[in-house]
Amino acid sequence: MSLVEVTSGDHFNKLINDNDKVVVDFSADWCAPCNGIAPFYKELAEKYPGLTFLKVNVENLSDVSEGVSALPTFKFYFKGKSLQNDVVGANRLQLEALVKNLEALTA
Amino acid sequence: MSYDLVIIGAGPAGLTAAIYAKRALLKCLILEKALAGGKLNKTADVDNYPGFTSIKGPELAEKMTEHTKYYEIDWQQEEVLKLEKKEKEFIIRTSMGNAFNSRSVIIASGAVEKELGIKGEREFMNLGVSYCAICDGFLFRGREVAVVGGGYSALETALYMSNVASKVYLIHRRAEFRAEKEIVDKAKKTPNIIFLLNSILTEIQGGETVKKVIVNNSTNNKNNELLVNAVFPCIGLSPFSSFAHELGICDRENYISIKDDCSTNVPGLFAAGDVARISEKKIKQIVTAVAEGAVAAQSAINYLERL
Repeated sequence: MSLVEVTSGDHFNKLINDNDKVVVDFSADWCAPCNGIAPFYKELAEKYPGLTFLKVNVENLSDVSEGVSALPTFKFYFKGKSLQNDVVGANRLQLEALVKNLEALTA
Repeated sequence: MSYDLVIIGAGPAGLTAAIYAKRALLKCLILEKALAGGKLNKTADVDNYPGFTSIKGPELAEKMTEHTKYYEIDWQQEEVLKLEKKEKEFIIRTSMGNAFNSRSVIIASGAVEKELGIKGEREFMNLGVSYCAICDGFLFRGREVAVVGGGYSALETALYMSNVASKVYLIHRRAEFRAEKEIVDKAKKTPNIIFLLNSILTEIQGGETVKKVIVNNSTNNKNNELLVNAVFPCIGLSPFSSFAHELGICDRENYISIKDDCSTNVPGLFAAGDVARISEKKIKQIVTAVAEGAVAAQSAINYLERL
């Protein structure tokens, strides 16, 4: 599984709970910084196949995006729980560093 | 790798400089830390750029980038940390640990939004305090928000947010605006924009996110609380020139001082766009950035021919 577009709140919950290590990109079509980092996010999804990468369109899924107050926001989940170490903004270095941290986590 | 010209920044000035440089067959590299197009990406509507009656900022950024990339320019997404000159060559060091050598450099690194410098601003950054309404504005749909400033970008942000938020407080420290009369009138006719003039935002408060702000009315020195969920500071720009401070090319406000031909006091080093300043009267517009990009590139071409 590389990059999954989340389609509903139930879909989001299932993906978070069924996969140990999940990265979520909260973004929107009209957000230029979101579009700018999207190719890099896709590259990360290919580079780290052990992680599940999700994409949430905040305009369509406001329930899932509750609490997101800037775009893009990247959240990291381990065994269904948020690690509370969000990356806010299109910061490639910080994003990859936290992806690496998530990859290194063990049960 | 050694270049004829390295351009730092891919906003309108840098992109234009690259087009002119490539058309003169220079071996040229663009270094851009973030997104091509610069602040265009944070601009909702551009209504004063010839050729487009009205165009979205990100769309114009994309068109300019596409035009520049047509010339197959070398491009690295890296942040410049230091610019040095050794004999006749520049060395540009980046956050990825790379060093690029070049015979000439154009600094077109732009400017970043100034912070208000008040209590709560940093604490709630990205938690309701945003410097990009077109990125984050939607997240505050149906809520009440505050926009701070009296220039064009403040008015533009207030108008943009008036279509998204239920109410927009436009907080400005003076009674008059620096922005063009047309946009001020448009904002005044917008029913859900509330003007708070002679007013200074003094504090941002909240819990996990922004909940309210304190506004001081300077005519009677009274403080008022406003219940808002977002604050958009639009009080001007601060030039992004820290990597070049040691070269002694900046003025007291850290703008790079340039002459009419966009040259600095360091031979082979040029600057264009929002980071550069000929005089304090200079206006900061897309058209002026584009014009300076072209002038800087031509000056670099002339300089390289003389070497």
